[in-house]
Amino acid sequence: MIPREFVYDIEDETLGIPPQTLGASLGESSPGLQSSFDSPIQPQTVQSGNIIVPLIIPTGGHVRSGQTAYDTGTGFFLGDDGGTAKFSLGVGGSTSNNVTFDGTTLTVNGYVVQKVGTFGGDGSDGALSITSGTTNINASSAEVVIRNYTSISITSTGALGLTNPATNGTLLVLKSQGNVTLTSTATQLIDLSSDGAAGGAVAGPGAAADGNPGSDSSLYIDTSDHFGAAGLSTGAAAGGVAAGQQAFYTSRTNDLVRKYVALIPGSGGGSGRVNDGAGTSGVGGRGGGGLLIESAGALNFSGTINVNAAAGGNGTASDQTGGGGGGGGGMVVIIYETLTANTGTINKVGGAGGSSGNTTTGNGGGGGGASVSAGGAGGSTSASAIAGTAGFGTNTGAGGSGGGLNGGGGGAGGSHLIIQNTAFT
Amino acid sequence: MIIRYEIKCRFCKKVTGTLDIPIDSRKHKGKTFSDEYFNIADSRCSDCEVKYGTFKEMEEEYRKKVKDDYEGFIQCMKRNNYKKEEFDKEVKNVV
Repeated sequence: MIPREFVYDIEDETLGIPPQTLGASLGESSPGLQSSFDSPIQPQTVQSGNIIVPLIIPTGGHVRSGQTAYDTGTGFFLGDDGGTAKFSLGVGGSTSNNVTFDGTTLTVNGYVVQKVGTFGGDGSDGALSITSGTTNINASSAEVVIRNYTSISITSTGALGLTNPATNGTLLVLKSQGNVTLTSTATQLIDLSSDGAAGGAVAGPGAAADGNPGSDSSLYIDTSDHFGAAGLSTGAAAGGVAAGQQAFYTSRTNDLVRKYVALIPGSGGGSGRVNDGAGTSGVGGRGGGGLLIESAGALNFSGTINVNAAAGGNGTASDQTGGGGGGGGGMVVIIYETLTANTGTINKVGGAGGSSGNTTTGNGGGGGGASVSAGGAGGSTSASAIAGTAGFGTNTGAGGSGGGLNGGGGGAGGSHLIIQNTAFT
Repeated sequence: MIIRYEIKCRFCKKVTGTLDIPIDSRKHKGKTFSDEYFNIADSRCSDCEVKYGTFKEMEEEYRKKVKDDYEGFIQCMKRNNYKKEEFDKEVKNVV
C-alpha cells in the first residue's frame, strides 16, 4: 500500500521506481496507486507534478476548499451531493454573494463585474495613418461605430470621413492605445458633417414630418425632443429643445456605478409642409454626427473637426410650400491621457433652414441650433422665402422654430468637450 | 510584427494612408484584407478630390435632391464612375 501522504516526483530516483514504470503507474496498471485514488475515505494531498489522467468524482465524492459541503461555508464545492452533481462558490447560502448550480439551475447572487473595455481600446485595428485626401468609413447604418487603433495619425492633407449613417445618426468612437495626432491642414481632418439623424422626409399635400432624434433609446442623454418639428398649417413649427448638460458621472437609475460619457449625434430638422395641391416642400436637414476620441497617449490637435449639420431643403416655387428645418449640430468629446497641443477647431454648426417655395404663403425652415442661443428662426410671414439662419457657438442650443406657416423647425444644437482623462482605466 | 495595409486613391492609386495591423490579432486571423473588409467606402487623394469632387458632398447632394437612401446613392455613384461632373449631370435633372 502506498502511503496516503505521498509526493510524486518522476525525477526523484530515490523512489526506487524507474521513471518509465512510474509514468505507466499513473494509469490503471498500478494497483497500488489505483487503490489509493479510489479510496473515498480519506482526502489526498498532491503537492507537485501533473495530473495526466481524467479525474472522475464518483457518488459522494467532491473537491472543496473552505466550504464544508455544497453551499455551506465560504469557499467552493464541486462534486456529488446526494447523488446529484453540484457546484457552489462564494458564501454558502448567501443571497448576495455566491454562485450555485444545484443540478438544475445556475444561480448568480450578487453583481457581475463585466469588463466592457479598456480606456484607449485593444488596438486590434492597428495603427491608422492618413496623409492625403479623404478616407471615408462606411458606417453601414450602425448607430455606433467603434475602431480600436494602436495610434491615430491624420497629418499633412489627410482626412477621415464617415458615410452611410443610421437613421438616428451615428456615433463614431475612435480608441487609441497610443498617441492621437490630428495636425492635417485639410479643411476638415475628421468630417462627420451630416452624419447625425435624418431630417423629416418630404410628405404629401397637407403633411410634413418631424426630424428624427439623434439617438436611440440606449444613447439618450435626457428626455427632451431635440429634433425639429414638422411644418404646420397654423403657427411656427417648434425647434428642437437644447440638450441638457449631463454630469460626467451619471446618476441614471441603471448606471449608478458606471462611468460613461453623455454623447449623441445631432438631431434632424423637420420637413416643410405642403399646404395643398402641387409643389414639394423642403426636406429637413440631417444633424451632425457624434464623435468620441479616447487617447491613452498624447493628444496633438491643431486641425479642424467638423460635425456640422445639413441645411434644410427648399420648397419648390409652384405652391404653398415650406422650407425644411436645418439639422442640429453634432457633439464631440475628446479624452486624452497627456496633452501635446489643443489648438484645433471643432465646428458643430446647425444647418440653415430651407427657403419657402412661395413668397406669400410659405415660410422658411428654422435653423438648427448649435449655440447657447437658439438657432435662427425661419423667415417670417412678412418676409417669406427667407431661410432660417444657422445656429453657432460653443455649447448646445435650441433649434430655431419654423418661420411661420409650413416651415420646418430646426434640430437642437451640438456641443463639444476636450478633457484629460481622470476617470477611465 | 505587423502587416501593412495600404489605403489607395480610387482613381490614381496613390497611397493616401496605411493601417498597420498586429499580425497576432485574433480579430483578423484568416481574413483577406481589402477596403471592404475595413469598411472603407471611398478613398481619394487630395488632387483627385479637386478633380472629381468629394464623396461626402455627393452623398449630401443625393440626399437633398433625390432621397436619403445610401444604396440608391451608391448605384448612382457607380453609374457615374464616382465623379462629380458625371454625377451632377444625372442628379441635376431630378426634380
